[in-house]
Parts: sequence; C-alpha cells; structure tokens
Amino acid sequence: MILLALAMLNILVFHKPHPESQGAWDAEPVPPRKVRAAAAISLLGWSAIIICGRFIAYDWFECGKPQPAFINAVEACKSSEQGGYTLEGKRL
Amino acid sequence: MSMNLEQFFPAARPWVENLVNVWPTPYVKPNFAFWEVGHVLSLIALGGATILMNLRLIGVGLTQERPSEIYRNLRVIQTSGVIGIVLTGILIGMANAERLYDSAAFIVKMLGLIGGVILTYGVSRTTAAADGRVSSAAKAWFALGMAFWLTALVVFATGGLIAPGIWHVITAAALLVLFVTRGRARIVYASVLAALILAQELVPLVINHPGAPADLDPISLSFAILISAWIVGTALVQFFRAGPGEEGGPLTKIIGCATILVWLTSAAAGRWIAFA
Repeated sequence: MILLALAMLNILVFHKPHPESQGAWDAEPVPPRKVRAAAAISLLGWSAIIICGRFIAYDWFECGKPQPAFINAVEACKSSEQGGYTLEGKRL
Repeated sequence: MSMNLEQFFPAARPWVENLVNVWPTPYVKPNFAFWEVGHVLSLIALGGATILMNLRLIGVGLTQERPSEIYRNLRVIQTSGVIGIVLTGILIGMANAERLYDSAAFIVKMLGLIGGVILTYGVSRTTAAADGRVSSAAKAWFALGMAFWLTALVVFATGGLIAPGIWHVITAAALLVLFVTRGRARIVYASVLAALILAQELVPLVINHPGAPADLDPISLSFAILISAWIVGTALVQFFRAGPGEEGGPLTKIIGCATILVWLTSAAAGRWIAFA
C-alpha cells in the first residue's frame, strides 16, 4: 500500500509539470534527468508492487519454522505459541 | 470437454512424479515464490513491449513514432521477456509437475505460448519492422499462429472449471476495441456491450433452473460467443472501414490485436492453473 501510494504520487508529480515541457525534450536522444528519474521510480515502484502482491499468497516468515535470526527477532518467535527455530532447526 | 496431458500421455505419470527430484527442482521448490515472481516480471516485460508494439500496428498509442522505430526500441525487452518466461516457467513447472500434468489450463497455456511465439516472431515483429506491410511469409505464419490461439480459446471456454477464465480474454478484447473505436461508433459499441452484459446477468434470473451452476454453463457459453461476436464484428467493421493506410491495412491491425490477446490468453490460463 505504501509503494502504491508512492507510485501514484510519482504519477502526479511527473504528469503535472512535464507535459508542458515535453516538447522541449521530446526529440532529444536523452531526456532530462528529472524525467528519467520519474520513469525509473515508476518502473521500480510498479514492479515492487507486483512482487509484494504476489508474495501475499505465501507465508514464509511464520514462527515455528526454521528461519534466520533476524526474522525470529522481529516476529518475536521465541515467546510465540509456535516457538522459534534457527535455520539449523534448533529451538530457541 | 476438459483435456490434460495425462489423457495424451498416460504412461508418463511416473516420470512426471519424479521431476520433483530432478536437479534443479530441489533447489527451486523451497524458493518457489522467488521464481514465480521472476516469471511474472518476465511476463510484464514481454506484455509491456508486446502491447506498445502491437497497439502501434493497430494505429493507437505511440503514433508519433514509426512502427519500425518502436520495434527497434522494444525488441530486446520483448525477447528478454520471452526467454525469462520460458526459463522460469520450466523451473516452476518442474517443481509443480503433477499439477500441470492434470491441468486443462496448462494445455491452454502451452497452446497460447506456441501461438504467441509464432505470432510475435513470425508475424508481428516482421510487420512492425516493415512499417505495417505484411509479407507473404508473415501471412502463412499468421494462419498457423491463429490456429494455435483459436484452439487454445476453444479448450479454455469448454474446459469445465477453467471455463470462466475465457472472460479475461473477452474483457481484454472488449477494452482493446473500445480504444480502437472513435466517436459515435464507440458510444454504440459500448452501449450494446453494456446491454449484453446486463442481459447475461438477467437471463439466469428469468429462466427457471434448478440452481446448479452447471445448468448455467450453456447460458454462459452462449453469452461468451454472443459478446465475442459483437467485439470481433465491431473491430472488423472499424478496420475495414478505415481501409488500407500508409502503415498497413485491416490485416496489420488484426495482427496487432491477435498478438496482444494470444499472450493474454496464455497468461490468464497460467493463473487458472492454480484454481482448477
């Protein structure tokens, strides 16, 4: 949702000032840096939204499974009902 | 009529079941989502390039550039997308082989993939590179690619539980034609389309039926055919009324539409593998 808001903000920021100036750089081989930055943000933002959207279907980081120490820490797995397990399968 | 690979290759089941143990599947399966996202991103690269290139053939979108210029700028992205979907598709397919073996949607996806490759490399790209002129070889490839795509559509529409997936293709075609039509033609097209959709919703309520979803299949299929005929008919009238142009005639525009929709068919069928 945060990425979606950022991507939409990028549309607003890009489309407001640039259509008027498009004629000035449209024929240039390389557009201005601001325009290229907006394009890069758009591509990366929407790709990230799709990636995150697809990952909604998967629940990898639930407690009770072997996983990195960082995940165990942020999920507070040690004190959870399922418990925390290291990547080697050792219970915390 | 629901077909799957098991019906064609019944003896292959042990081989299919063992694919999950074949390298590199043991490494792919635990990280299935990463590879699946790679598959989706490849599809986006392919889809974006295909839509821009073929909308230009239809005569909408980036009309300030020549079709050949758009082809030159997008061909590498498009080919990267094709290679990406095939490579990631093989990997996630091996990790999920049993499901694919029993899946009618997978048959649709493969027919769409073959049709998509033929229409893209044999027809659309050569036509775009020639600024809309369709060569004799492209016409022959077009006939073959269309045969694969139309077969895919028939299997999709009559494939039992996956049949609702055909509406993804019909919806995309409806929107595509909405972009193509102009002025009063667009209003008439959209109005009739809306009336048909409304009728599709109302008819099951009017006709007395026992309520089982299967009883609605003939009605749904009839409306799928009726709405498709309206969409295709409107598009053809628009294309032939416009006549031959500087950058291709009706066939060029039909090629543009078919190439976009064949990939959409394959993508939609791929999503339906998970559902039925």
